[in-house]
Amino acid sequence: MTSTSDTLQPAVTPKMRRGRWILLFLIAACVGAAALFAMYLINPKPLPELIPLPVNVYAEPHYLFSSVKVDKPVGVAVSPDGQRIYVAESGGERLIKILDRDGKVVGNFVAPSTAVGSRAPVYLAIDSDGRVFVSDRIQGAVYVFTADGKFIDEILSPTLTLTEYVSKHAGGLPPGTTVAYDVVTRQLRYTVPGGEEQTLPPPDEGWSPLGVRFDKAGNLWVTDVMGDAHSVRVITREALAAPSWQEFDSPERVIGKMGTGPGEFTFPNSAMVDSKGRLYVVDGNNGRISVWDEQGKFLLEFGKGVGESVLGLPRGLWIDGNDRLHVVDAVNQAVKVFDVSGDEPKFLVSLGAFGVRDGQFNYPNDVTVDGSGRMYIADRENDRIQIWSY
Amino acid sequence: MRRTGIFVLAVLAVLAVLAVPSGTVLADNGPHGGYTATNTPDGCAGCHRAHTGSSDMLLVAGSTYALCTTCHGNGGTGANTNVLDGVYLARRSPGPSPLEGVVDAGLLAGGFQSTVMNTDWGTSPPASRTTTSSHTVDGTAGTVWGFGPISGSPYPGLEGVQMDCGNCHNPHGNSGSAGQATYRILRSKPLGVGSLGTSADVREQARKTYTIAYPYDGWYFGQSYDGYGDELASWCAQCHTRYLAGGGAAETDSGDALFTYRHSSSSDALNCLTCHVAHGSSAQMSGHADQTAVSPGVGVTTGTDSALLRMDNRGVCAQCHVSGDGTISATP
Repeated sequence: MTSTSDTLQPAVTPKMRRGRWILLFLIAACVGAAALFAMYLINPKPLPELIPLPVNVYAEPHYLFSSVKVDKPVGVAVSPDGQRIYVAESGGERLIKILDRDGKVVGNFVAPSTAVGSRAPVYLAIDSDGRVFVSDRIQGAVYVFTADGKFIDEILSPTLTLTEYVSKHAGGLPPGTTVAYDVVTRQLRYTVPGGEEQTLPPPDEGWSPLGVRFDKAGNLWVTDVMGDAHSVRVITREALAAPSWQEFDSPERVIGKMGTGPGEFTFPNSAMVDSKGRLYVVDGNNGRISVWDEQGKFLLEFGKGVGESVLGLPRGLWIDGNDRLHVVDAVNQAVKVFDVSGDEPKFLVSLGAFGVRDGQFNYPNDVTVDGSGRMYIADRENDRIQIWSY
Repeated sequence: MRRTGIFVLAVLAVLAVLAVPSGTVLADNGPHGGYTATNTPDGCAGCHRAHTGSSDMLLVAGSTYALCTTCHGNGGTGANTNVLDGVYLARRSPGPSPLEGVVDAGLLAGGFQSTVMNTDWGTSPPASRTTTSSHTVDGTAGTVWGFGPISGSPYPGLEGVQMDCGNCHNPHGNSGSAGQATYRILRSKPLGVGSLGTSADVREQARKTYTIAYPYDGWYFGQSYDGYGDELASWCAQCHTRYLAGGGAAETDSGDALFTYRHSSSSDALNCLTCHVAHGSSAQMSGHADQTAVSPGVGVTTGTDSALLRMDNRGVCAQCHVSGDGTISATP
């Protein structure tokens, strides 16, 4: 005998069950889409930045947007948290501009005691503390600033800072001492608190720093284009971490020499270390990149030959966390990407072409990639920083 | 049998041709030079495209000015001669400056945006200052003053000539009329002024000198161009034709409606570069000196244009025509 309730309960057919599943899926999809929409409204960023995606699979980066106008930018760097973009301008007042993550100007600063025509900021590097290191081609120095652009010191050679030089001559440098140095006028002045302004002869030793990049350990790799001795120099983490630079003690280490043969440089523009400790040097006027082992032994070079991987006038270089080497080719109007995780570099892609539209370049000069996969390119003659993303 | 032999030979010949190693096609895009008639350089492709150039001169991209300043701009990322700031960057340490010039000293030619010139006869290293006059270099159109032959009709010069670095310099080198090296890779004949005049080669220096001397002793004026000053004058006169004049031209009617009496400018000791710089000057003009005949024959205007002069106001005149006791003379 069948009960009444049994007779009133409708039977769940497979068709109904399937319908419920579909309904459930549609509701979940709607909720998911609504959540995504809400997230985008709150934080309008590309999906790869909202949802972490696996990054070990190479996907070609794409153009996102451009910054507000900056004047002939030649160098670009990003703070460790990715929230500040630093730009070295070669036009106008030649400022170092601070942009926010959306490419809007939030501040600027310059090398102290310099006129417009006597300063030429080129490349930048940011250390883990957020300090900003800027090479200046005319002043022949690496300027060091706080994240907000307050002047800290000037590295006049791999073994000498401005405060060290003045301190040695002045018999110490009490807090509050002001120092002003301009190599063009050859004037070095300092004033201790409560004292009168003093002058010093300019230091004899010097260098011509150009490319600046930090490795993971915190050592600063600098390309040096001294008149007769183009090379790569290293400022050690220990020297940079010292509480005072009045005794600046970085051991001398020189890699390469000037020339056109293997292991030689002509206007090296940038040098950076990969995850295996190998050093990559952009050999600008020789149109190639040379690779060195940790001991400073020359391994190989690439960038010559035929095809898209060929380099014309390579400039700024950046190696990201996946050992993808990005190099700007100024005359070929492109950013070229190589996979350097193996024994031999493997060409991946050439990004961009000549032009003024989104994603096109007009004599680009530098590139950097942040931890979220955003790529920043100094697009010099288009007066902008282009932001791309993986 | 014979046909078979010919066939076999033909096949062998084809195989032999195929077996010859073909020359490697290189794309060694380093800048400037390395070109010969007997190799197959692909350095050309670094800057040019034969059929798809985006700019004149078949440049791969952008303007000549943008290309040149990629190395010679104020970033100095590929050269020691920063022509925009007029400053030399070949730092050498320790020890003296390199033979070619003084580090951070002014280039002999001045600069297009700013210069390091002691135009005030000062003896201390001058600060960098914005230029007050310069040759057009970014591809915009300007007037070539004094261009053309002596004319009874007022004719200031050739208007609308687009000027960039490439009008005067040949980036490939060996730019003399016979393919020889020239001073500052100057073309034997500037581009843009047609067929006027003859070629004027300026000999290459045995040892290049890019900057004024140091320590500064006031001699930005009259920097020595010993031995080729007259060649430089002839070179400038390919465009500024009617400015070139020999001795006695100040007392002789040239027959030109505008350039009637002229200062001599054609000798080795006294030439265009004795008083003027080639790229740009930051000389300051004031008082009567700021009244400049910007356009010959159309009146005097007031401005700060320094006409590429090496010294403030008319300091260049005083260098030769004012003696120690203040006497002014027509002849030095």
